[in-house]
Amino acid sequence: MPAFPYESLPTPPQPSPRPWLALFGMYFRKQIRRKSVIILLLIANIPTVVGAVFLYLIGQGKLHGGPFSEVIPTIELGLARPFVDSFVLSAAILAAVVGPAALAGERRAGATHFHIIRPMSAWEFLFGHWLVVAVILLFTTLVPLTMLFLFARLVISPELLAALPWIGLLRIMAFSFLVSGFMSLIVISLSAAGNSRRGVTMLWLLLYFGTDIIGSIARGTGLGGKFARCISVPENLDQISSLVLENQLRHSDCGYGAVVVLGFLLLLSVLGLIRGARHIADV
Amino acid sequence: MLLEAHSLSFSYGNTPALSDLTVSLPNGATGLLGPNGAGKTTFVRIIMGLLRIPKGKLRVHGREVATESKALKAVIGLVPEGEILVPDITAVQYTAYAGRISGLSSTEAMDRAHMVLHYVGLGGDRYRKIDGYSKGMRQRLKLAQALVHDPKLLILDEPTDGMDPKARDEMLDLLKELGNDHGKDLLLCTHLLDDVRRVCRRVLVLSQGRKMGLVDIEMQGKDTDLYAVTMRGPIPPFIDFLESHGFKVDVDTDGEGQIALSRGAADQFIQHAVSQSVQIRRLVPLRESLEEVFTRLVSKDT
Repeated sequence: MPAFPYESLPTPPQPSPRPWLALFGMYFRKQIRRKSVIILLLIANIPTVVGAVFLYLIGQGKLHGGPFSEVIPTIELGLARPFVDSFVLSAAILAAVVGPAALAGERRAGATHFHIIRPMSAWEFLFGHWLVVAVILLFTTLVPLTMLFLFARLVISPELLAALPWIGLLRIMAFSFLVSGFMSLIVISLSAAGNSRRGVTMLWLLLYFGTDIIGSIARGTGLGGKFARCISVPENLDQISSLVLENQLRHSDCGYGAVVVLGFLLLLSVLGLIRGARHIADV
Repeated sequence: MLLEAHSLSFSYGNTPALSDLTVSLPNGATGLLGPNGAGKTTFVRIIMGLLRIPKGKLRVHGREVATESKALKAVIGLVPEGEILVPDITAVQYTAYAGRISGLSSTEAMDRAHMVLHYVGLGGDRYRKIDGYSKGMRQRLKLAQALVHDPKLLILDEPTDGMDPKARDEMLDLLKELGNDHGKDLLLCTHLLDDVRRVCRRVLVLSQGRKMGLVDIEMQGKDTDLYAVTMRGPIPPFIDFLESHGFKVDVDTDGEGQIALSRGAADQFIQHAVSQSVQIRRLVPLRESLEEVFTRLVSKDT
């Protein structure tokens, strides 16, 4: 070994009150540098550009008719529904890429053990990872929606400004935090409770898209009556997004049942997290 | 005092892992020896606060493990047996990150990461991704992450596992230096008695979750009353003389053998030899090897 000096610290270190911040910094950098994440973020934000162009054209009075002509008058926030839907869909796909890699992918390398032998509890470890996924998902919800909102306020004519009150920005924030927080909580709980990265990805995709397919089939065949829509996680998110963004339910079928279904999913996620925390502590 | 355990017990379901363990370890380097299932790993996990203590008390550096586990983790460095890597980052990022979680500022963590990586011999490879490290390099890296926050206590679980003889020598020298020159307390769990002999001052032997003995390596053999002896002169009558005076002697007619001498009896024995015209050519205490101590203590349990 080289004779390099080993120096002692003048005072012994004190455990950080927020060790999850260090975890967040490290893993956020790691995730955001992944090629798959960069590509997905770029693709996810294509609608932002398209939306901005349309908003500009509408604002200049150069676009009449067509699917985007109703953008501002029909939605209080001036954000066309197709854009919102595409951002939520991007968030779901991004969650499938980012979430499982956070925990299940690192467990084999012993990264969990690395954290637990330091002044960090299993819950702080999970919280740090949840925060990483949630913040990345905000790049496909909060960031583009806010940009579109601000851009709309810049370009639209003064008489249409009334349709874009500043309260809309608060609604956007509430909606974005809700969707990102919800999705990241589910993928992190799956990742904490599961062992295989691929398995966790499959489970999330099944939960998100699988329930949508089952819901569509149920609606098509008439099974489940008006509650058939409640099976689909995307439909329920859609319902919630309408409630938050537009202050009205999008469908009358399931009504506030969406809140119950998503609440139940959140409860399952918490149970998954408890199992995961025990699993992590038992390294 | 490094560690004080009082009536410490722990079970996995109905299987006891530690049974009524009471031990006090002074500061310095201590080896933790025991056969598989002796409770070594459980003991380490309890020290690290990874397992809750259902019965008994444990204090490390005067702090209760049950209530001050987080503060203790900040002053303990653990080199576990298994992998503890964070994939896709370089050694310097990894070590600095370990320091950050342990409570160092980012600048301090990065400075110390460079320093300890040099210290463990990974200075030249510190910008390489750790995924490509060899087993030996990973062992050194594990030591670096355990040292970065300057812990008072280093717990090492099989630290030389998978290392070639040269690297193993270097690692053991380093551990010895950390204990002797840098005042670190070491707790070395290993199956390799030679590692313990080279690094530690004492050994705690566990078997089936119980303390079988705490052996001071430096003092080991000094209390024994068994001596190897070589004598010249009228051996048979001298043996009879010694036996008549209560000495236990096992010496052949050539004057080679062993003699049991209680403390202070050596002078008396030499005076007897002089009075009987017998030359004492050699009289050395017989030391029990660490292997023999370990085998004796563990077999005591079975």
